[in-house]
Amino acid sequence: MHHVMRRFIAAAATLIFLLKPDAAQAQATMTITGRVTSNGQPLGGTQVGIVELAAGAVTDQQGRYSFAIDPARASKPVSLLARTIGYRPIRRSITLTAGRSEQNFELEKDVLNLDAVVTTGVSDATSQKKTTFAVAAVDNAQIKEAPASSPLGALAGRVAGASVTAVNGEPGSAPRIRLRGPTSLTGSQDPLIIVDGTISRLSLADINSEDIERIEVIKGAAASSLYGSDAANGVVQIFTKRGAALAAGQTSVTVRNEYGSNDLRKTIPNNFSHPYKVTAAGEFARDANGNRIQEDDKISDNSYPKVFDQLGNVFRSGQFMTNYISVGQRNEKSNFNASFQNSKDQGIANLLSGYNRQNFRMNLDLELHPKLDLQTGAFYGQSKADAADDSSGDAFFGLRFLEPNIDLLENNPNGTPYKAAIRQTPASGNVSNPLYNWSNIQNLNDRNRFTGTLKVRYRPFQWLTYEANTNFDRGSRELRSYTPLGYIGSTGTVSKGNIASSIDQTKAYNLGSTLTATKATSWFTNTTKLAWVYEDQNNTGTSVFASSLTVPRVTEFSAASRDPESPIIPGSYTQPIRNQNFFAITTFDIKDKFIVDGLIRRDESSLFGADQRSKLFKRLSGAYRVSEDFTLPGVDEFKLRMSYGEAGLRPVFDAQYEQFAIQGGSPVKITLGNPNLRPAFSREIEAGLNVNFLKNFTFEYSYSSKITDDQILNVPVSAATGFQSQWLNAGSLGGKTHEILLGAVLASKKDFLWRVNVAGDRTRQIVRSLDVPPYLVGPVGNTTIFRLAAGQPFGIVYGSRWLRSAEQVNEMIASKRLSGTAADYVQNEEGFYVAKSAWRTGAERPLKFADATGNTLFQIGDVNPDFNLNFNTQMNWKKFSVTAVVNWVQGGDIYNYTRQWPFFDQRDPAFDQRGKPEVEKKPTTYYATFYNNFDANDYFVENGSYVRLRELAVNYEIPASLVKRVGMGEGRTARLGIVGRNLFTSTKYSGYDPDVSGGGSNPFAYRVDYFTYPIFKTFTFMLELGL
Amino acid sequence: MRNRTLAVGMGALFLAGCNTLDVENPNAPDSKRALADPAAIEAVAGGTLRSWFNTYDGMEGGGPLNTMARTYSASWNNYNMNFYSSIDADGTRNTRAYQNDLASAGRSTMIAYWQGYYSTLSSAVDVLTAIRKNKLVITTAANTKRAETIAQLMRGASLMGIALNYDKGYVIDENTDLTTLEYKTRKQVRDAAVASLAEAATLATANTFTTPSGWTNGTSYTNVQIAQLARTMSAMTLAYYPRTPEENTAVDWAAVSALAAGGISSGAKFDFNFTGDGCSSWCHEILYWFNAFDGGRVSTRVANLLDPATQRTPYPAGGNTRPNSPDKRLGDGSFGPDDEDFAGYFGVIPKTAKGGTDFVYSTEEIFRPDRGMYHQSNIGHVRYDKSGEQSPNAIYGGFGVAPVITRNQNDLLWAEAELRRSGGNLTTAANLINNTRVDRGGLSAATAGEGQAALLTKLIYEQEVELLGLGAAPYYQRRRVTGGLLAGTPREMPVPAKELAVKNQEFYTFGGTGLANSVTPP
Repeated sequence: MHHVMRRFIAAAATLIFLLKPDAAQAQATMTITGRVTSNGQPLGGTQVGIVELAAGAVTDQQGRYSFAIDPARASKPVSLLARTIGYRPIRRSITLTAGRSEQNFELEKDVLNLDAVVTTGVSDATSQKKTTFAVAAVDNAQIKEAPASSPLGALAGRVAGASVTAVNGEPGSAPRIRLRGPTSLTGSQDPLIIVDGTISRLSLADINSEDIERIEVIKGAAASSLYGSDAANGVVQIFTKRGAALAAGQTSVTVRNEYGSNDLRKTIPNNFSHPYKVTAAGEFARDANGNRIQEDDKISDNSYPKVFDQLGNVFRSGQFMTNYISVGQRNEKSNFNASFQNSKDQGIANLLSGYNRQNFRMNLDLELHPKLDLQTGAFYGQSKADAADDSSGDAFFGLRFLEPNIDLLENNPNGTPYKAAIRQTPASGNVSNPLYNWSNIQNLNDRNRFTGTLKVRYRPFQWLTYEANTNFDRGSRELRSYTPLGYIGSTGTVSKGNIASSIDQTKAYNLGSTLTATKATSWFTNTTKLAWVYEDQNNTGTSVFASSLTVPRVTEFSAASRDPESPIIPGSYTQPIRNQNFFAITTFDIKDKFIVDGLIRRDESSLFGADQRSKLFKRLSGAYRVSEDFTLPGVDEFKLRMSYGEAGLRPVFDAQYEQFAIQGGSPVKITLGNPNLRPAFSREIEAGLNVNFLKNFTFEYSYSSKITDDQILNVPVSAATGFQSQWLNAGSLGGKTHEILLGAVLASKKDFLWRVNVAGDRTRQIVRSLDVPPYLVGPVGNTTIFRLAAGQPFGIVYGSRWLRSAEQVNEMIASKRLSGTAADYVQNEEGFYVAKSAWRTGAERPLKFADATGNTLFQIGDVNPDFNLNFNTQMNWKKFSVTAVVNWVQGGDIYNYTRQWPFFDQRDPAFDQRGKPEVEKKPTTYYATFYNNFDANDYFVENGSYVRLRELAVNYEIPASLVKRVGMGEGRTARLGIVGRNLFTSTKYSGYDPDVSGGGSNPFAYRVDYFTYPIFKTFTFMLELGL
Repeated sequence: MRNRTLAVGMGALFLAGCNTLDVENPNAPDSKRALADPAAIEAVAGGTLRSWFNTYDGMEGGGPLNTMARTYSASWNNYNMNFYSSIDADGTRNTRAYQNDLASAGRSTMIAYWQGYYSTLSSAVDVLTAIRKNKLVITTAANTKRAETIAQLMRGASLMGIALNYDKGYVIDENTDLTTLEYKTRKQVRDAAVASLAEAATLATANTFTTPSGWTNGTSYTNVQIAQLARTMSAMTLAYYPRTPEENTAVDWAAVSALAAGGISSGAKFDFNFTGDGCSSWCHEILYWFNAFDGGRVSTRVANLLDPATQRTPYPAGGNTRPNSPDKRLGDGSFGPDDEDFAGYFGVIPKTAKGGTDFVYSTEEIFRPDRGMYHQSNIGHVRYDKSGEQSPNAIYGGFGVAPVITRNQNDLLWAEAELRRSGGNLTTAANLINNTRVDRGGLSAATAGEGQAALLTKLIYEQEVELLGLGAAPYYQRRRVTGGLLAGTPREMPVPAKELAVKNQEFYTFGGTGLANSVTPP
């Protein structure tokens, strides 16, 4: 240990020595000064500097800059570069001589971001023109007009190959994202998220979009190898505002307020008829026992004497509000940005207050010395949600079973509001009154998040940069639910109430140390980086549940019963996770036209099996800028690129361990351990081209082929072992994706700018091998309907088929699975084949298809869309600006359990026979057959295609004269606007919304509609002041 | 200042590098922690009781079997009850073979007992291995013997569960090599169960101990009681094993009689039970479902036995009228508090002096008629609903004392053995029947003079009425030998597809048309 400490002290002493002020500064200098403009207007915040010497300055609000340099530092001409975000940089060769040199620049707007610089996945900041793989970037200009509640929402429709799903509409819930195709059969598809260098293991729902300066996305192993064993799903890197884009000396204050409302997008119709005998007064006739009497024909064609607008009672317009203030400043040696956001999203559920969030962020950059920079940042966010508890399904589940004659606003017999005991026999007890539920049960979800970042960058030599960073992320989530003593169930049972509380905390930090060396010669530039990354994460949780209370209206555990038969149940867990990683990456830029990049990374993780503690990942990639050698008419830039890369997916915490669960105080075998558990190993080849043409157009095409071996699966073991399962590396998943991105500036005049981007992708994937027999997976027990089998795509719904074709009938007759001849069967009015003898009788039933072996289970759906195509546009005309994002998801099936389950209680419009010709009316028993004991069948498979206007923002900048007139000073700005989110959706899908998911680890493969909080639309007014 | 910052940063890097990547799982023990420590192995021994209860009284396996036997009825398809227990238009279950396929929803029915019993068996064998092979001592010799006895008992009880329900299974003990494990016939499994239970009885008799109350979440048992219990379980194994009337005849009823005579209704009688905790860890799921009369009802077949005059079977349109049963267990069917709201919610008649002890009449049809009228019944089972009001904090919510095997069950096994064995004592049989028939039912006493056939009828009545809710064994396993199962109903389970898949073996099934309901016994 001592020798290590001595080395540490020696290294620190060397650093301190190197930090001494440079004696050469006192010599004769050259002063480079000038002005940067665009269209004649000053361009503050532009960086002007000598690339080779890392010297320069930033323009002030008048576009002026000035810096001094020792001419002796370069004997040859050097490059003077002027660049700022959103403009095309200009590079100019100058020779250093003592004295003053005026260098002015006129920059052109880079509307299509062709010259944007990216840092994700590459050895150092790299122009998009020189990347060897696709790096998608979304900047603040695209986000700011309709900032999504979560940063991931900002990627929807803007990044080719990025699928974003809301999962459910519960305010405060985070959307999920998948980049390209799936990488894991049963694990998470979530990409690695990095926020200002902090590897984030927590929900991005805590972070507000207004703070985002830029998001960069790399989509698979071909690009993400740099991030190793946790990056096969791609990487999303978020950079927040730091004030660095401001002009020197500028202070910018932005105040933005948005206020509006949320509304249910559409309602799902109920069955407003019934099959029971009615009295002359229209009431139900009843037998001696008081039960309803079903009509002999069992046809649901009688109207209820009175029906209620139940959805109108349960849903309402809810408030949506955000207040945001940001203060940024840039000085000679520092810049900072501080912001505060307050948001309130009531959702659309009546009686619930929804979601409230307050976020504070502060970023500060300091130049401590010409060779030493410091970047710090801190974020604190807190949120509270009054949740609808859609996880247990009580509210949105029970709602689907309501007979329309139930008045949800009726009082209970004791006078309290919202009648609880609403079950009407013979309906099942699945029914519940959401209003009673929400007015009596509390489900509170509080989150707290603190993130701190510190990065030191030291440049001892022109060619060498040393960076060290430490990032800390701490989040906690407290869930608390309270059901009061005396809570009445839908059947009238009275509960003694319960209290549940759980607190989950994640504390994570990562440390990094990086050495970057750059070597430039006349024909190549090489950048080589060596890095060490350490990640430490500790997840902990405690929970308490009291199943019985002794007093009403006391919401703390003091009210819990001490009855040993109603015990108080505690729980806790701890998950320490550590990773240590090393990598080396080198990039050669040869004559500005050939770029070759290679890297190797070694990951060590406590999540790998004890005998497999480390894993190597490699990448080799290259690009050829064809347009540097060949001039093609109309083509401004033409690049071919190809990359091969490897990345992994880490097992979950528990996977490697042999585990006994403690149940009832005793150890019980659960999981057989696996010391040889390896990370899943993804290999991807990405090839593509980038063409910029006719000055105003850009086109990017990428093809990706990836194979992810060593799938981490929890597979059954023989019951004889006493264990239930074991995590094994037991399969391979392959996927191919085509992506296009087309950008066009359709107009670029002084008063009129119109930009359109089109991003599209098509993914096809297949389970290449599976070391276990085919089996079913799904997000929850009831929705385990997706079959994993070698040779099949991933996302296949498995279930029964009903006879819909003559071929099916003939096949079943031939195999003697149906009796008689084809003439004995007839296709009914709804397209199903039924026995001719039963057709239009009370005995009519749909028939289930069976193959020659008697098998009745087949592929009945495939959730994978044919393609995704997204359009986003930005149009500025004088003081007006319009931005819009349209998503088009073509194809892909949805399994609609939200429709199937209520078939149990005849609560679907299909049952309603009113208005049909008498002979075509079918009995409830006909439709009830489709319920199929809740097992999957093709009656409930629906096409999930949709076209959605996801974002629409129309803004108007109030003229300066008017701004002045209302008392605001010179240079102040004000904008008014309207913002719509999910305003319009065109779909044939019958549920609340086609953007549904059963959730779980892979919401994209599990497109199941399952009683979730409906996704809603939002319409707001916006006022933004620039102070 | 900045130098200090750097030093702190470098120091942090250095410290981070010292953290080991070998992280022990702090949440759940592994074999080293669960099977080597004396206290832990004692907990494993006690835990075998809990995992066996939860399996034996679980709904995943027991729900379908109870309803297929038409003792209880439920139209819900939870646990695949509706699928397996519904009756096709032709009055059979010919389309309802066991769905023993990894892609079928009905697969879970076969998995539950298999997984549950082998989980228990594996833990029991771990205890026996630790004590017998690894010579582990649990505090004292007496405590060690107590753990060993319970493990031996639960090894036998688990093998009983396999022998009664599956066509074949594994027999595992502390000397078994799992890597070369082969299936044994169900008869071999049965014999291994009986032998293990006999050994448990011997161990219990030879030692003195009392089980901790925590092992059953509430009740302690002495070594004498454990020996009695082992004999009762042995009797159950032999008596409930047959799949056909022929196999029933072949049962060694003399052995059953001898075992039952030393069972839990001999000497100091007791019920073997545990206490539910709201189905968190301890759950009598069958009572949780079927002592909630909005969860399931007594089949009208059984209701009809209780009061043929009012409880007509099959269930008639308009339902059955209020009972007036001579059996005190049903009486007039009234129930609960004298509360109009309560009665309104549940369709019950407020409690009267003639209210039954075990059964309730409800006017409410809980199941949608078009799902099959045979699922309907006006009679619910409330014997263990001590709250008398379907309180979610009693058995309705999974709380309270839950019987597993009762003294009456042993009586009725014993009585059956006396009636079926050669030279059986009819007086003993009649007396045993009367323990429930007269004492609980208030019915006229059975007498030896009635003869074997009449006594068998009364015995079956008692089995039908008295043993409701006590696992699936007293019903399904008995009804398959009395011709009580509808055509097409499988008589036993195949090895679950999940297990077959692990072993790369062909899936097979029983039941339905053209498929064997059971394999021929060896």
